[in-house]
Amino acid sequence: MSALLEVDELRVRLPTRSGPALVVNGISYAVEPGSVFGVAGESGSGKTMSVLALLGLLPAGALVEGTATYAGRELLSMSKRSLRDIRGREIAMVFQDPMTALHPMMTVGRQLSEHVRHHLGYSRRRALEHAAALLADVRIPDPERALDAYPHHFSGGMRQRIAIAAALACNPKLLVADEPTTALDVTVQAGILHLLDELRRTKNLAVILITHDLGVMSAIADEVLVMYAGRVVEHGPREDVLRRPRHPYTKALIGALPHPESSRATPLVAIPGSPPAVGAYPAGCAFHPRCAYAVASCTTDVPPLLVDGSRSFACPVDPFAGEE
Amino acid sequence: MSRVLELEQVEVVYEQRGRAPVRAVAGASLRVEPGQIVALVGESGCGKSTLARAAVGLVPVRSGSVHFNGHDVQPLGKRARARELVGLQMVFQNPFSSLNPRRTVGAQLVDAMVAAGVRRRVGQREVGSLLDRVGLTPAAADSYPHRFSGGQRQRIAVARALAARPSVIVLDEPLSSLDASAQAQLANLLITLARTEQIGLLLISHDLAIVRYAADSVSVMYLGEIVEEGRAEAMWREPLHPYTQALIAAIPHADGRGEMPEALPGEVPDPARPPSGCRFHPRCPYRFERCDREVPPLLALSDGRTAACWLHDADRSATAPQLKIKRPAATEEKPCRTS
Repeated sequence: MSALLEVDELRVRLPTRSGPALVVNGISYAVEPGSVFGVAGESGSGKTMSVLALLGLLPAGALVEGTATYAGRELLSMSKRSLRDIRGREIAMVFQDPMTALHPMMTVGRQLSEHVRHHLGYSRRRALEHAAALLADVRIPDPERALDAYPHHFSGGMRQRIAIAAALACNPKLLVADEPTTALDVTVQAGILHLLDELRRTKNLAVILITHDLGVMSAIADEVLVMYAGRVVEHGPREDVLRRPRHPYTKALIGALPHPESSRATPLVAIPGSPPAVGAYPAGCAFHPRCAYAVASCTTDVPPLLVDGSRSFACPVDPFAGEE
Repeated sequence: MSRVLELEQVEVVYEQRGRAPVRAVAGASLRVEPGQIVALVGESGCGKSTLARAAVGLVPVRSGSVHFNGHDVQPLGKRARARELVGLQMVFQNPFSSLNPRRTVGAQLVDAMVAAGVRRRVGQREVGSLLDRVGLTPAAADSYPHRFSGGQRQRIAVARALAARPSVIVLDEPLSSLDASAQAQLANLLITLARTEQIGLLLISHDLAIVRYAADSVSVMYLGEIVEEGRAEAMWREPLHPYTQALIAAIPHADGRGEMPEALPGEVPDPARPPSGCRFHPRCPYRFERCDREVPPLLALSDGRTAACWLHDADRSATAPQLKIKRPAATEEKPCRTS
């Protein structure tokens, strides 16, 4: 199967007071239709910037290198106008805070019908019918009535559903979801995850899911890519990466989580220190100051991405070696 | 004198002109003793943050009482806060808005100590050790808040609360905006404060998984009412209220198995118009005829636990469904999965 999106050697530099900072440093991946591609990492790891770059949504002054091929078209060198046509119509985005996507003073019906009138040329009436169907798809009770309501009439979880409905209005093939459930309660989060899972199965929607929550990743992602300080540190099938991580950082991230089956007496193991500030990345492997497995060469040499079958990892040390 | 925070049948009502009054907290009781971490858990809108604010006197209570060390906690007014309440401190959810961006961390900590009656000069000497207690270097005192990550800021906020030498700290969702590792760091810090310094903590959270590690006892809140209380570990293994069960089943686990968490159907109802009978009945998979008619009281069950659910009523009707839960595992080492 050919990939829907292929990203190759993507680099992003953001302007800072001390010059351009390399916030995404050479990441490559492919997303298949109908699959959920997870991008994990702590705040400041570059995970959001790496996808904003694809959509031409980076802050002013950002520099982008590399290629991103979507259905045979190269996104990074595309004109703003062509990119705008793709954005919203073929590639849609959902953010952490649904209120950034929804206009507080416009009815839900108008927000959901505008897209399709603009992109697909629907009449007003047809667009509203379409909007009601979208709301039904994302399980908003009484969609007809919801069309006349404003975003503030809905709870956080319902707003995120409406934001997803708006993103899906033009039947996109790729949905970029940046921390879509982070602000929500676990009960509501579970509902959104079920919804995304259903959409990829019934509509063959591909999803790039950005989250720092490895639990969410475990529930729905097919592949997981872990970022640290702008680089890929580990990438592979979900089960491999989460059950037996090959990079010390991935292992440490999992170790910091409360494990459902361990006894309460087992303390949570935090990763020492804090993630480096954007642009102020340590030399060598950026994770070495916090790494329990670091050796002398880690402080000077950037470890290359090693490939092993369907997995890749940027560390010569196997954190589980000798434990099994 | 015992250094306890005691909330007795607290009721908080928000009124807005032209709208029905909202009973955000509809009669809740809690008790935080020295060295104890008590967690208050529930979905957004359940009233847990309101109860936390009532506990420190930031919102007035309609009925019931809040006592700290035997003193009545009065809502904050124009007069200075009573000296007796200095030992009751609060840490807020957002460490980006709770710290002053234009003053150094050290200056803010000294201010907090001075406000608590410490001499400025003494305070300046103690800043270093205060930062050390929350796992930061004394050099952090000279920096401004923007230099720190979310997790570090939250620890600075804890240091500021500690500046008043509190016996009880109320923390409103201190963990929810943090990455996993920063969350683990802060959770471990809170456990240390309780164990080694005998500080009592009221921890507000929506995440039962992390609460289970940090807290000794847990109260679960739904729509303004406490529906279950008990030891954290026991509740995690064997939730007695269907709502607690749903909260636990909705937590996704990072085990790579690809299992979907269970979604709780429906939405939290409008607290201005709570459902009749048990407030959870419209969303409850176990509801039976009694649930929409009678309000279940907090029933005292075995092991010091309580649950407000008719399924646990001794003389319940024969038609009541059985609560399906996995029994706790026989040993500590091999606990069962809850979901």
